[in-house]
Amino acid sequence: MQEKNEPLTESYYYILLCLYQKPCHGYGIMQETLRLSDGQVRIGSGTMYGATENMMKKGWIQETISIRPEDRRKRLYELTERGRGVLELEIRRLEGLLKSARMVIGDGVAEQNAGG
Amino acid sequence: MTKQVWRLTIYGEWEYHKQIQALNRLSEKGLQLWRGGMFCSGFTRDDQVRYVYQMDYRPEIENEYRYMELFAEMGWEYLNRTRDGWHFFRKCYQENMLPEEKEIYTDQESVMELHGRLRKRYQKNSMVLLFWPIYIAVLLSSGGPGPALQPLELLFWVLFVLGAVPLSIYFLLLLVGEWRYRSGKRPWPLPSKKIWILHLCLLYACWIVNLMRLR
Repeated sequence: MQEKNEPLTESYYYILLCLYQKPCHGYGIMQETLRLSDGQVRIGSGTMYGATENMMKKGWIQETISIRPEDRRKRLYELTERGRGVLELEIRRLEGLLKSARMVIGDGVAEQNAGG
Repeated sequence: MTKQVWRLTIYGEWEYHKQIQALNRLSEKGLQLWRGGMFCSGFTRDDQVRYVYQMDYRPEIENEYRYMELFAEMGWEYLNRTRDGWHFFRKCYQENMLPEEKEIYTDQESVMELHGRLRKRYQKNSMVLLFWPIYIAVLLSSGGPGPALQPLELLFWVLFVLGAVPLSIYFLLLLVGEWRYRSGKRPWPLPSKKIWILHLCLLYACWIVNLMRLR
């Protein structure tokens, strides 16, 4: 079934990305997003709750309980197959956008910005 | 021994930013909020600490434990919930805090969702305001000014103009704002709730004077 290809917000994108390899708790997602985006994208608690709630309703992520003894009480989020598909579609969409930019502006997009 | 203080904190839903700023300023001065409200709040006097405050409007929370956990994990201490659905949080103030660390909504989309919830709230509230035009019409139907303008009559009309006219304007502003919002334009700003309440008091005084002049 083809998922409707709506663009993801940065927060949604990073949450799905952080969960790609393994399940994670909220704070972990926030820290990993900061690391991956080089400090540019920070997800606040209010945003995180809304985003995770929406994504759970859509079936992209689900809650799970940690099996590690040191974080038994921690609530973890994990990506579902559907969520994995959504993320992969989004990455392909973004790659398509970049490809178009490179066709028009050429490979040196960054140099253009610095020199112009 | 920390001293408990109660203060009036009158803010409308549309002014929650001002309320947060006020709470942060008060914390700097040594008044620490422990129980927030849209009309009055409880503070403790403590100069040794300083907090950053935040408010979230969420009347219905699908999973309260999950909600609290997401805030607690990021260092927010949960204070209380108002009957309407406002939640108050605070975290310890640090000198080199980034502005994003003081926020709970960090992207445009989630802020729009918050505003959507708030609009539903004051659509409900503005239904109550329908009462005022009806009330004003009733007031006016009890007779216009007499041939000789007695002091009580004059007082009635002064209070009526000072109370009813601005309130009707604010009510219209609310309606026009709703229409502008739906057609994608920015609604005009509403006056602060303190001003609404001032005019409401004048209208009540007008009502009392009306009872006296009809006697």
